Amino acid sequence: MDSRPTVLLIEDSPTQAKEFAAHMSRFDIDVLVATDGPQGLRLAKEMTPSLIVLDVNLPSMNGFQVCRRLKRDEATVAIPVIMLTSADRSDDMMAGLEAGADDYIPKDDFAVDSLLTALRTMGLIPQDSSS
Amino acid sequence: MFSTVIPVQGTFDIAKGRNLLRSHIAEQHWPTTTNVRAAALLTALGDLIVPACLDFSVPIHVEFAPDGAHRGIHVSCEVPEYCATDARMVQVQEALRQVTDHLLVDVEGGTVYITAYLHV
Repeated sequence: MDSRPTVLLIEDSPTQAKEFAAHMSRFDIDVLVATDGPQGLRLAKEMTPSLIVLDVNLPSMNGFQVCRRLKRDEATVAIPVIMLTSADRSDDMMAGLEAGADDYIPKDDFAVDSLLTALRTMGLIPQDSSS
Repeated sequence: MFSTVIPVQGTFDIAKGRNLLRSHIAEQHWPTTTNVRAAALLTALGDLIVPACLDFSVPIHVEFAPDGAHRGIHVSCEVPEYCATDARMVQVQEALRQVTDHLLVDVEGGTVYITAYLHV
């Protein structure tokens, strides 16, 4: 039996985490939530999720620092990372790439659409699923 | 070859354009990092166009070359020179250089011509 995909969301806003989990539940995706970088790094190692969705503005460590650590660690290097953030300047996006992120989605009016396109590309939701 | 025009006047247009580019990049099965570079490119152009508070849209022309040696995205636009203050132009050109593989910026007859290539 195939196991359901699990997404680790590293996000300090409970409201946004709840909203994200609601979107994912429509596609039978389990969501783990970490509210800061250190907790996220620990959960990524312990649970090896299918995907990590990472905010940039986090307490104690920012998302770029978390991403660099994930990509330096043998146990987590292969897990795709999408940065989902309100930091939407072009240099923020390039900083995300330099930190090793696989994708970067600004939290704009099209964020949900963009995220679903990314999940389809990664094979986590069916190609014919609608937003 | 797929081509489209993204009319830009406000930040919403940039967000809509980024989403449109993402869909086409996904259709091409290009690496997901292409999304980030394409989004950064469009955002940098938006940083030039949007603060100018124009009462008209600036069309950004986008062409996707799916095959060949120049496989990638070709973006061009023409911005009135009065929008492009020296300080803003320096900042935007620096951002565009960071994102693109090839950048051409020409100023002629009161218009700034920007052409950028992003190879995949």
